[in-house]
Amino acid sequence: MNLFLKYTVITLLITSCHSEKSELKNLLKAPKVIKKDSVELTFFKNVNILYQGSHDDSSPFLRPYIFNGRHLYAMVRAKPKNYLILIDIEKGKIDKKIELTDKEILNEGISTFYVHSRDSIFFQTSNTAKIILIDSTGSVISRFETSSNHDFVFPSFLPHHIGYVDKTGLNFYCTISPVGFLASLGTNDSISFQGVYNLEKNKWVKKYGKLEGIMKEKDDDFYPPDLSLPYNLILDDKAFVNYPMDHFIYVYDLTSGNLMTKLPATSEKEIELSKPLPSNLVNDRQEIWNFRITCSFYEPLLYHSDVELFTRAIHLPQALKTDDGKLNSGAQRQTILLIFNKGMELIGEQMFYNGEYSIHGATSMPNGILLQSNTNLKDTVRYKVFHFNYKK
Amino acid sequence: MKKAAVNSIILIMMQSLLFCGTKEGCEYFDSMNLYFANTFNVDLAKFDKTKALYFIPLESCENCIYSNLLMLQSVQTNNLIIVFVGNNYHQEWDILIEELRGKYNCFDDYNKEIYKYESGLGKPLLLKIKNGECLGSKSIYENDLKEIKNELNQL
Repeated sequence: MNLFLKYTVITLLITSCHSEKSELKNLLKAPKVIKKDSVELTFFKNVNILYQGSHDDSSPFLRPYIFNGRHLYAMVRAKPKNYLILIDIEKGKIDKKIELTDKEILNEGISTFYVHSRDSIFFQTSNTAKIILIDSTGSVISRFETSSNHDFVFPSFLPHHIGYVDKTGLNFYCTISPVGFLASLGTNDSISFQGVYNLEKNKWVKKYGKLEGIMKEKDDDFYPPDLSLPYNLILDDKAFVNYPMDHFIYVYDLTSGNLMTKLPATSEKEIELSKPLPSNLVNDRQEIWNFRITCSFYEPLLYHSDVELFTRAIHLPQALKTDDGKLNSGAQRQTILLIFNKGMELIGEQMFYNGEYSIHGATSMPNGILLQSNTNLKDTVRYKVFHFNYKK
Repeated sequence: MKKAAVNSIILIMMQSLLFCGTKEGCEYFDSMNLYFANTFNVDLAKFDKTKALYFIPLESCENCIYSNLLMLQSVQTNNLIIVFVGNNYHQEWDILIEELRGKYNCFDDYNKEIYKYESGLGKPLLLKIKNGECLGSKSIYENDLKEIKNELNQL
C-alpha cells in the first residue's frame, strides 16, 4: 500500500512537471498567423550628422527619442558631464546641446528619458526610482520620489524602457522592476511590472501587469536581464505590454488595470524562441552574453501615429562565433520587421540583412522608422529613414 | 554491497579530480590569448613570471570601479598588469588612473574589443598567468577587495 502511494505521488509529480514544461514548449513556438500582405517599409533618405569624435562601430547618440516627428533627442557621454543633444533630422543638423546639471541625473550615467514637450523632459533614476522633470535649459522643474520604501527600481538604464505622460500631463506610465528581480531573474507571478504615477497627487494610482506567457511559465530558469523585463506602449486607454521573449502582446485596460486580451504579434514564418537558461547560470556573465548573441528576441512594439500602424522586429538566431574565433558581432544578423494594423493583424513583413536593423537601433517616427546605420564614418553619425507604403 | 557502492563513488570523485581538464576560471583562456594577440599584439606566453592581469571595465558600475581603483592604488607588487576597458568619463578618477599608469604596466582597450571575445568580463576580472598558462581567473566583487589586495601583494 505504502509502495503504491509512493508510486502515485511520484507519477503525479512527474506528470505535473511535464505539463508545465510542455506549456512552456508550446509558448516558445510562434503561433500560426496569416499575413494580409499590403504594406511595406521603403527607404526614404539618409541622414548624416556631422559630429566630431564619432567613430565607426557605435553611435555616440544614446537612447534616441524622436519628438514631433522631427527632433531627435539623445544622450551623449562626455567629460566632465553627459549632456542631451537635440538634432533636427530634416536638416541633419545639431540644433542644441542641453547641459545636464542635476547631480541625480548625472549620477545615473546613461538613462532613458521621455520628451513630453520642449520644456518637459522626464528622466527616471534607476536605483532611487525618482522621476525628474527638466526644462529645455536642463534646469530641474520637479522631482518625484516614487519608491520611498525602495521596493522597486526603474529599468531606465536599459534602452527603450521609456516613461510616458498622457495628454492630461498628470499621469506618468512606466515599467517598474521589483528589487531583487534583476539579480535572480526567476518567475515572480504575484508582482506588477507596470505602474501609473499621478504627478499631481504625487502617488501611484495603479500598478498592474503581472508576468504573463513565457515569463510566467519559465519557473526559476531565466533569460538575460535585458530580455526579461516587459516593454510597455501606451495608446489611448490601453497598455500594450510586450516581452522580448514572447510572441504575444498583452493588452490591458488602463482604467481597470485588467488584462483584456493577448494577441499574436509574430511572423508567418516558423519561429521558435530559445528555452531559458538554467538558474545555476544566473551569475555566469559569459554564458548569459553568449545566449544573447545566439538567440532570437523581439524589439519593443512601436506605434506610428500618422499611419496608425504598429511594428515589431525580431532578430533571428545566429552562430556564437565567426571564423576568426571572435564572438559574433551581428554584422550578418538577419532581422524581420513585422508590420501590424491597429487590430494587430500582420499586414507586412520585411527582412533586413547584414545587421542593417541593429539591436535597439530603431526609433519610432509617426510615418516610419529612423534606423541607426551600422556603418558610421569618422566624425559623421548616419541614420536611415524608412517610410511606410502600400504595396502596388 | 553498500561498501562497494561507496568505494565506487570515491573512485569516480578521485578520477574527476585527477582528470578535470580546466582550472577554475580558465575556460576562456584561449579566447583571452587571441584577444591579447589581436588587440595589443602581445603574446601571453612571454610572461615567464606569475602575472596578474586586472581588467577594469571603466564604463560599468561607478562605485565598484572606483573602489577597485582605490584598492589597486594601495597594492605593492611588480607583477600586476592593468587593462582599462572602455573610456573614463569621470574627471575625478583622472588623477587616480594616471597614478596607476605610472605604477604599473597598463593596456588601454578604448573600443572595448574584449567584448568580442569570451572572457567572462562583467565585474572587474583578475586573471593569473605564468609561462603562457592560466593559473585561474575570478570576477571581483566589492566584498572580495581586501582578500584580493592581500593576494596581489604576495605576487
